[in-house]
Amino acid sequence: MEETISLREIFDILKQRYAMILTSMFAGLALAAIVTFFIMTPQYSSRAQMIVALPQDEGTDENLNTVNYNLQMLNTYKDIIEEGDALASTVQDRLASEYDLEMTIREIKDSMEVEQSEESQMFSIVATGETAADAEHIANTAAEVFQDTVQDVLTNVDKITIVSRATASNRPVSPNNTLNLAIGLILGLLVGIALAFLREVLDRTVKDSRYVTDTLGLTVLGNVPKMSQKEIEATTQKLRDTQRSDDQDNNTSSGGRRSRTRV
Amino acid sequence: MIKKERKTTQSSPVSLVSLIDPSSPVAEQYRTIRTNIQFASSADQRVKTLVVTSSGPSEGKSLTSANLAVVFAQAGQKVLLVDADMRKPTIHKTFQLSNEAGLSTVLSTGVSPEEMAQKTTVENFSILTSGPKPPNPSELLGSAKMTQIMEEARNLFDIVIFDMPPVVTVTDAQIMSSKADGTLLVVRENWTRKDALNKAKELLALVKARVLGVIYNGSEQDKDKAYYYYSD
Repeated sequence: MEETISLREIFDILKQRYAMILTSMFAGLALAAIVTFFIMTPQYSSRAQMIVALPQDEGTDENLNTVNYNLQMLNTYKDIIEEGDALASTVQDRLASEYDLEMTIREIKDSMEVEQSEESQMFSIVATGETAADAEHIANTAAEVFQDTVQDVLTNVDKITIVSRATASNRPVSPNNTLNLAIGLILGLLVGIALAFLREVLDRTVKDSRYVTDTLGLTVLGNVPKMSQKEIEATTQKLRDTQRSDDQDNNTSSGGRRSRTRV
Repeated sequence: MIKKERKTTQSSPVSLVSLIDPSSPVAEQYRTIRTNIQFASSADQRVKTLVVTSSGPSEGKSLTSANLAVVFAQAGQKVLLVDADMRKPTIHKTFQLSNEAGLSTVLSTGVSPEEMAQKTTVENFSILTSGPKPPNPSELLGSAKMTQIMEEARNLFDIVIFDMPPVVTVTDAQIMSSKADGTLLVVRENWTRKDALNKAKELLALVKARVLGVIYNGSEQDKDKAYYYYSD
């Protein structure tokens, strides 16, 4: 298509189809609300914080080296907790026996995440579950299991401390209502705008008298402005009145046109 | 009676704005069109028979032909408006006339169009309604009798306006365009399809119709301009 579209035309299209865009926006919002409040199950999260101390070396500039080494080791712990089956299967057994919580290894691994703050030797096991208690149990069990078993795996670990145990929090972390609704609103808006332009592109009706003159080479003899429904009704009403009185005039007198006085 | 009237106006909301509100910008546009048609009419190519058609339905053919007929009559010309849309006639509804006899009657009997035409309240303005629906409108319009009637009407009136069905849908308008002095193509903004309009132009060119021009209907952008001059 050789037709170009100007900025003004874009605004015109948006203005013309604003009702559709608004509808689509609110539809997006409503959809997001339904999904957020009725379909998504709320997720609760809980974190246990731990610190791992490595054996001290005798060297002189030990401090910096040890700290760096510790920080690098955090990635290893992360893998053990998030990826390894050994830890997860122990956690699975203990959850089942102690809390009556049946979960597959896959679910346990998916529900756990290791977070570390930058430049800190501390790390947290963050567990999410469908209830606050589940989250707390998973996080604590994982922390305990890690504490018990990591020395079997990694020989150079000195001491593992659970700095703070996980506690149940009754505020769900997911779904994030505000964020979901905002996403719904914005997606709805974008879809509305896209539909407006799509309809404009697919609409092959004449939009401008220039099409008649420039493309078809025909003369425009007259440009009749659009009449609103109100104007049309007003004129037809007026016509009915005149005709009725004219009819009466014709019947009573000898066909002369008179002013509309009769009822 | 009142009930019936309401029903008919609903089915054909054709507004005779040029008659009711002659100072309106819309009426002014019809007068402009009248002037333009008169200028297209030269000594050797008089425009006395005028066909009004469009590419598709509901683009304003009847509205245009009715209002044009009124402004021509207001200019003192002897006008005959013929409802040649024998498939979906509307003119009799707009002017609230009887349609018991009309063009189809003239075509099938020996009555002259002037005899059959109904006078209106507007001076010099007569209307020939479509008459009862015939089974073969295209054949009737293409007949020699029709040519003869047109010739008769041409002699009796200053201008004869034919309201036709859409040219792309049925061939009626094509037939009449080939016989008439001029053809007006009605285009409605946001309604007329570009491809249909192209097709209409082609179909009219095929029968060597003299397309005087386009009546551009339902324009939104020129409205402001018009009101600029006429608002009070």
